[in-house]
Amino acid sequence: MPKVNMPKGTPSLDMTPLVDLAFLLVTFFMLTASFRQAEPVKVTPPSSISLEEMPKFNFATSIDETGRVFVDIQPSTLRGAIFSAVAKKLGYQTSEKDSTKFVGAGPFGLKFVPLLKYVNLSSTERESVQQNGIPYDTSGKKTELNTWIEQARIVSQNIVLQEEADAIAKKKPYDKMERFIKFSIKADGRAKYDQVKQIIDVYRDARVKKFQMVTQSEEAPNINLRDY
Amino acid sequence: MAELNTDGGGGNGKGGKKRAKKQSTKVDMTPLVDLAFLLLTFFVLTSTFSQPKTMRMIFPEKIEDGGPPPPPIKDGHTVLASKDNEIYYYRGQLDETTEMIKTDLTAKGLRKFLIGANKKLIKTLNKLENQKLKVDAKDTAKINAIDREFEEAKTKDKQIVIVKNDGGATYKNMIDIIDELAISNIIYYYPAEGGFTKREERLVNEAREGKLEGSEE
Repeated sequence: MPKVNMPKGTPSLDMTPLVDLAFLLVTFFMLTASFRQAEPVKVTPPSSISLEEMPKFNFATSIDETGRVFVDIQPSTLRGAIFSAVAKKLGYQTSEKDSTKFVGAGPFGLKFVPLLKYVNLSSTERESVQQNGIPYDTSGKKTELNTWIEQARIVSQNIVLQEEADAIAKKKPYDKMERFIKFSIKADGRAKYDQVKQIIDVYRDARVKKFQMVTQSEEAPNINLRDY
Repeated sequence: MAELNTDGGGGNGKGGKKRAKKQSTKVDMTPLVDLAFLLLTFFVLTSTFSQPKTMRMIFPEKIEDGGPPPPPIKDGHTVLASKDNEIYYYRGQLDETTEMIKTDLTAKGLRKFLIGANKKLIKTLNKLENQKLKVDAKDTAKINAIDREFEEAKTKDKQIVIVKNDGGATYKNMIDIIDELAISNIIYYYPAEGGFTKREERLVNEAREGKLEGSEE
């Protein structure tokens, strides 16, 4: 029998394609990833079969089990403008720096004065701040939450009208409806409905009627009419 | 493999011909791969893929004095949510003969009733959906005609459902009920304000003791 020649030395493997693939995937995930923001409150919304996306121009309200209200505004341009408008309306002096800091501060649930202090803290210091929610009143008295909602509407409308005028001047198409601020509500499933409703009523006082209720998505069941 | 040339330079001491040492151009890629996969794992675990979905809800404008009382509903249904995830419903107008039925949010509970009540519309919608699939996408006239039929069916065979709660229901209960309405293709529903009426309260209390509809014996 002829002798089988075994290859000498250590077997080596060309790793280049593996590296290519790995970095391709890394790049893909880096570019597509949207990071979960640190939330000051944990809210577990109920699920529904609805497939509507989260609005891009979003005044997001989170309501936790005990009825505390937290607000987050997107995108950042709108966020900064609303902050300045609310400060002006409430009669506080804020600097450009406060506004920039506020834009990066994520969801908040504080009265305006502690909020000013809060945005100027470092992100680790922020975590230790106890937030009691933005104050609101269920009997219809105007509170800071009303101011936030009203100013959000006014600022958004002014920006949209300005942008629309610019678009018309440049003869470009402009989707007005898509760019108006929308109000999304993410409430904890365990909260009492009446409690959530009272907060919705605060929005209705500020003449907001349409809401996007945030839900976890759930697969729609198959319905066979013969079973019913 | 990448290797360092460790012989101190200056030939090999024997004074013979200097020969350039053959250098291997291969680089050990193992740490690179390690790093790449570490980053990959990090991004896979931290990125959020599924954006949460939203459900549209429209509330009417607030009226200062509560507005006029709601008109009586002849051919609607009322779903009532109460504490401890209890769900009840009754058909039509509330009067002496009204039967309050206890149910729940499983597929055999409220959904069975709602789909049963809305069967006619669901059948029509399914039929139109199938028709639409068969039509050539370029045939806009036909598609528009079918869309019109959709709208007609939605108003002609509509079922109205009023959702009430007595303050005991959770937000999840209400969203679940509205979701059941969406599953059963019920387009016209209203979340009522002001809780249960006296009679509803009495009927619910009576039904509370009763057996769950559709439950196994």
